[in-house]
Amino acid sequence: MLSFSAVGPTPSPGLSSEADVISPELLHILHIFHDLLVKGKDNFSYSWRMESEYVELLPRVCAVLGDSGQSVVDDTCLEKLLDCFQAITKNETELYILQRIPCLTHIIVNIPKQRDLNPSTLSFIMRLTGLFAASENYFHELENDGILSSLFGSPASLGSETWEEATVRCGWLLGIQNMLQHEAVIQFLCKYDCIDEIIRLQKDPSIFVASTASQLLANILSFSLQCSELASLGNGSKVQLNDTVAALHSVNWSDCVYAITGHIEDFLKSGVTSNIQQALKLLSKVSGTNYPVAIVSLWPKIEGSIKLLLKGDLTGIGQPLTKLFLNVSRTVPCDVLEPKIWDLLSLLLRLLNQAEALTLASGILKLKNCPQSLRMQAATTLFQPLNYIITVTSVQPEEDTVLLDASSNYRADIEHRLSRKSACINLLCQTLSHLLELLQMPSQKIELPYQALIHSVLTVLKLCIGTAIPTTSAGVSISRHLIGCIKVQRAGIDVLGAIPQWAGRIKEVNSALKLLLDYIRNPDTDSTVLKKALQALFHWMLHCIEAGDSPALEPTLKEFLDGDFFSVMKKRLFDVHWEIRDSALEFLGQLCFQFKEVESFCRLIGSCGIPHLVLELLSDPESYVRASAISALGKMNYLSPNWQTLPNENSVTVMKGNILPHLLDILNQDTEGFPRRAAVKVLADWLKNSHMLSSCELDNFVPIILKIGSNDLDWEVKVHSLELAEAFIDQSSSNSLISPYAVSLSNSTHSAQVKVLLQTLCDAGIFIILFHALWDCDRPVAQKACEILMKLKRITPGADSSQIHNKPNGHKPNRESFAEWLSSSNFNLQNVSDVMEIMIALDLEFQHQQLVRSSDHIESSLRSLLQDILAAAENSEDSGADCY
Amino acid sequence: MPEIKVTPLGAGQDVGRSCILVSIGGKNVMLDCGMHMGYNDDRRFPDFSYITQNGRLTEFLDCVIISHFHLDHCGALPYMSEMIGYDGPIYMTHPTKAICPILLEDYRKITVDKKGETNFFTSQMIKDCMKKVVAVHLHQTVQVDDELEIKAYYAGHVLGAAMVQIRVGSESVVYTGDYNMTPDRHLGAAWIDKCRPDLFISESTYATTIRDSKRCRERDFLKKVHDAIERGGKVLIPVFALGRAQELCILLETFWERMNLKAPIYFSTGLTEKANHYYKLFITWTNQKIRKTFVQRNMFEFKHIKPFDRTYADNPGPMVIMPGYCVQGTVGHKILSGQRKLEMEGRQTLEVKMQVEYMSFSAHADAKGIMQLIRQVEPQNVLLVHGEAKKMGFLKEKIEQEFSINCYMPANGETVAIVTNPNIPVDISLGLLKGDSTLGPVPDPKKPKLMHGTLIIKDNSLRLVSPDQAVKELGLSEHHLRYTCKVQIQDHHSEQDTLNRIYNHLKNILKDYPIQHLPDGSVMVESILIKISAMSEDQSTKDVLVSWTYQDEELGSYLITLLKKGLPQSIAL
Repeated sequence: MLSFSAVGPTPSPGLSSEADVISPELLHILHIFHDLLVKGKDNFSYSWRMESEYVELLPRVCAVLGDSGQSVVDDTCLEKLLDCFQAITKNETELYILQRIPCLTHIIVNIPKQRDLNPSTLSFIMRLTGLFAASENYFHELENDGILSSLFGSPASLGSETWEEATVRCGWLLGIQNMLQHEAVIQFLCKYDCIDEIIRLQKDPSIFVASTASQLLANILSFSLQCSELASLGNGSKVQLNDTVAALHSVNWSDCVYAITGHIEDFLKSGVTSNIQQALKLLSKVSGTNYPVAIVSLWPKIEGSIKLLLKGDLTGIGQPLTKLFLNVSRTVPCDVLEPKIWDLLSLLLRLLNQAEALTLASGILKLKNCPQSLRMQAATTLFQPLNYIITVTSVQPEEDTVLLDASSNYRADIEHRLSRKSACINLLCQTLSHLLELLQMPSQKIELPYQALIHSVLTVLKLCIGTAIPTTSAGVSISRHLIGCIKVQRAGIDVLGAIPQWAGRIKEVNSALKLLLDYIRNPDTDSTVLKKALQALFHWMLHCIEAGDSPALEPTLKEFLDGDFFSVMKKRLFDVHWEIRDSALEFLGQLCFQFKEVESFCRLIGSCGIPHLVLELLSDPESYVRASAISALGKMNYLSPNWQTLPNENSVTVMKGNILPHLLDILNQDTEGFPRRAAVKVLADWLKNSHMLSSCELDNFVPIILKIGSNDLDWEVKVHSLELAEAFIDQSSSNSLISPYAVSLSNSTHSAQVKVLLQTLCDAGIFIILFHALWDCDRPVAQKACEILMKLKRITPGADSSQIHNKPNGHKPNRESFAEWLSSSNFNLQNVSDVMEIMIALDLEFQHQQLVRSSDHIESSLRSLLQDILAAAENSEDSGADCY
Repeated sequence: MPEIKVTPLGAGQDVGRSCILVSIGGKNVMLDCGMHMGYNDDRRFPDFSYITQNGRLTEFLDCVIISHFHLDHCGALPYMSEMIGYDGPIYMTHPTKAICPILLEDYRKITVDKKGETNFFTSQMIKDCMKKVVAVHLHQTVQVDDELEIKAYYAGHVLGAAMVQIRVGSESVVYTGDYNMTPDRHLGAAWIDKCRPDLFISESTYATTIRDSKRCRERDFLKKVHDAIERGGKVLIPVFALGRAQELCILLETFWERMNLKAPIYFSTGLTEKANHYYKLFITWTNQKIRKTFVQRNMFEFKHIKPFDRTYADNPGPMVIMPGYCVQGTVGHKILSGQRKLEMEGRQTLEVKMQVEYMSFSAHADAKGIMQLIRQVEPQNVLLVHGEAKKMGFLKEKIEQEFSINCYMPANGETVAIVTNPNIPVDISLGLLKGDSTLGPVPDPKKPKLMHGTLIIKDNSLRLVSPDQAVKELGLSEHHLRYTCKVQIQDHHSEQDTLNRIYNHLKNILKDYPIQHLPDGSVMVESILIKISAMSEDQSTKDVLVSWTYQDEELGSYLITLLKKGLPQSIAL
């Protein structure tokens, strides 16, 4: 029998007698609690005071939960409390927690008996009970005392009104799920006919409950079969899948397995679509578990029904069948099942309508070990809609522009679907999005006909803006559906942009570039489509460069750039929509950075007047655009230096020397954070990635920028300023041949070099900024400053561990005490020896440990949670209705 | 029958986050995409896997509509569009589109800067998400596609908040988002057409509350502030920067002016400052008074309220007024729930010595307001979201009782299906109308008129035309269907004579009908044809064959009843 200690409704002010003596087990639990809840485990030492408070608080919280008159703050508190217990029970098989905090058992036993119990509380208790019952010993104790049967036996015992609450049903299912760790649970479920209830819950009106029920059935089935496997084959023996399945057929399965398989068989044969769907979904989940034995064992019982289904009407069951077959083919070796899964996939592919077949085809093309013939069949299915469009829009399509040969028969429904506007748009969008998925895969399992693919996508995109002239009435009808259709435009351009990475030499480069420019030029192009068109154009231009053998511009691309590309871009830079201006700037920045080595490109962009326009956009009313203009200018500065020396007035104005004052102005005056962030980031990148700044610029501008940036109110401006400082340090140290990453060497040469370096940093005001930032209210800023200082400390002579923080003025880590210490010690941060002394005195490691923790680690701790629950219960005034 | 289905993924019997899926006329619309402030993990975002099994949200959803900029309504948007990959249209009003990124950036700052989370959406993602947003004007009908249209209405609550009407064909749904039915100091009251939607989805935060007079609450607030200042103290009001900050600023500014107070009022720089800028920019969205006085004096340019500078910082006590809700796991929540000791970093413990007051200034409609809006809109059904279950239950009963309509309150994950009566518009051909009116008397608009025609579906439209026209248009040949019945009568006369007797008998009875004796010997009344054939064995028994078209079904039945009674002896030959 379990023994329960009574928990008083009002907490005693002092420690409970149990809490006075804390055993090692409890200490262990509390340590886990603390580790799990306080983010970023550290060496924070535990105090007896804290632990005893947990012990005091938990029983009081249990008392609150047990008092049906009191309401808990909100459901999130209970969820978070469950997270804690879940973490504990994962590590604690012996459940010390229940021995030491008996009130937990008390709430499991007594709370469910109460009337008018809050459904959320009951759901919490069920899930908590499940967590504890995952321990077999404790499970038996709870079962012997009738607690499990009262909670999980029959839902009727909970009362029909209570059961009507979806949260209770969900708690019931999750409770069972939690305890499903040993075979005794299976016997319990059989004994109390729980399986029937779970089967019923698959049709629950709540999608959360229905989905949980289905998953639970799959888990019970798999777990139960695993138990049988263990019983028949023993532990540790490695056998083939077929042998395991054979061994399983020779033993008696549990009643649970029979009940679930019986249910699946009945539903598959029922002829009722919703029942068949439910059975197929459950089978998909079974095949989705990491235990292929389960689905292989079931297969002989269901394959007959599946075959029958494939012979009948597939309306409504195509999707679940697709999911099941694909799941099975991913988890089960192909030769294990009969009929072969490949044959089934092939058959289903033939039987499904075009829209449903697309998903299956795409799934097949992603499979690893699929036969080539099936892959070809899938590819044919996937290409059919596009091929149909090519056929009906061209007079006599060229051979390499046709995706499929003439012998491929179209599905009956393709023509019909493409003749109706919404169906046509949906079918094309689906086809294109599956194609995109394929193209985005890291490797291709099949050689796609890229030439024809490009041609077909170009045709679709041309139809969308009315530049294709169809030759047949079907083509005309499709073009009517597609003209101006943003959905298809978006999907098509995405595919077009993804092709160049796979295709080798492409015939259609010209057409692709021209079409994309048409889209960019067209004033009716939607801003989202235009953004995609620019991205796709970038990929095509990149393809041209990569396809060329020399660093010069490839002729097609040169011809394209010599056309009206730049004038179109110039128009777009001053578009009325900020989204378009921003996308154009992002594109130009990306392009300039990528083509920075291509001299002819640099010359073209230098002479086209675009940099001048970008400069004008620094005063755009929209802050996002200003920020993008800064980034674009930043990237333009990577262009080969020749472009800046062109005798062109526009290009001269944007020479780097002239941008710096602009950046400084923005940093000083812009009221929005994005442009200021971009300005400092550009400078930091210049300094980090290449030696973009002259030593004169370094000396003149960097200290000013650092000073302004580090006093900014925006945390990201401050972080970027510190990145700039770090780049400055790196560059200064490389000039003085010292690596800040190197372990300090205690020879006099090194020491002298370091001092020179530190003096440079002192002169630039770096240490003033770093010591100020070390106590910044924005954590990432302080963290970055701390990391830089740690790096510098490593090369500082005399800063080895024995000498660290041995100064008499052991200061507390905060801004005020540090400032006080600095002034009382008369430190001068321009003086190298003072700086070195400060760095040696600072315990930066400790500071860093503090900073990596989140700022709400105290509020998100268990103790804080428990306190909040208690406070909410004591202060149950009705103010909860308020919200934002 | 067509159905409208509603599944809340959030805001179903809770006020955590709003995310409601509506399926109407084959279109799927997501209403709001909020985040739950109470969680720091994935649970803060809606779980979209429940609505699409294959994860293809772009294919599944036709559009997303955001009602206003509060994070519990828009906080999951960048997650949905940039991390899950939804690539379809997102609609919100112009002010919401302008302010949304500020809130999202602020939220990101809290999450990334303060809490140190790394796997979170970036500034670039917020920008990319906002670039997908289509901004809409109030009362502008936006055509999402050929079938789906939306229209925004003013909702009060916060700057740019909108209610939205969604229409597909004849079916429509109104979603209120959060709204306020009483104008406050800077915003107006919600307003919508009497659009009689099939379903009205309303927030119900204050489902059971009849809020005390706003004036009383304001007076109480000002008195508390004033008393604290009179005592030489300071008052800290940690207010959300957008919305209530402006409301309280106007309140304090007016009070200061009236009382000629000199004590300084500060607001923190940063968000509030930025927010005031947007209020000035979108002045047309504020209330009438502010709009009217805008030229003389902009109410958002405060004389007494100055930006707070860090150099002013000292102990802020002795009073803190919390004008809104604080989520669990924050210092605000602790103070509000009465905790007097707060553990701070470095194992410091702070004692809460100041006075703490809670005053609700959130701008939601109370129970009276919700009923008022339902009365205005006249919906067929109501569905409550964004409220607590018990309170919703109470309001649900009240709505059903008062308006005699169904009211639903699904929990998260539960689907409500509402059957709608399809109202299919049909064009009637002029020919049919004219033809019908020439036959009958002058049409009476109060009486329904029965019309015979053929319904044809051609080029995606329905038309009612005359059978002749239908046959012609569809290129079909006409077939006539006749019903025939045989009645035996006893008459010893010859076949011809019997037919004459029938003719005369009918002429006597059916005086208003044209009755013809045809050359082939048969009798015709309207389309009804009567013929005689004698039984070979018994000359006195005659078979009378009656045949008629379906249009004359009634008359045909009457004649058969008549003939079954036999012919009177008095009828002449």
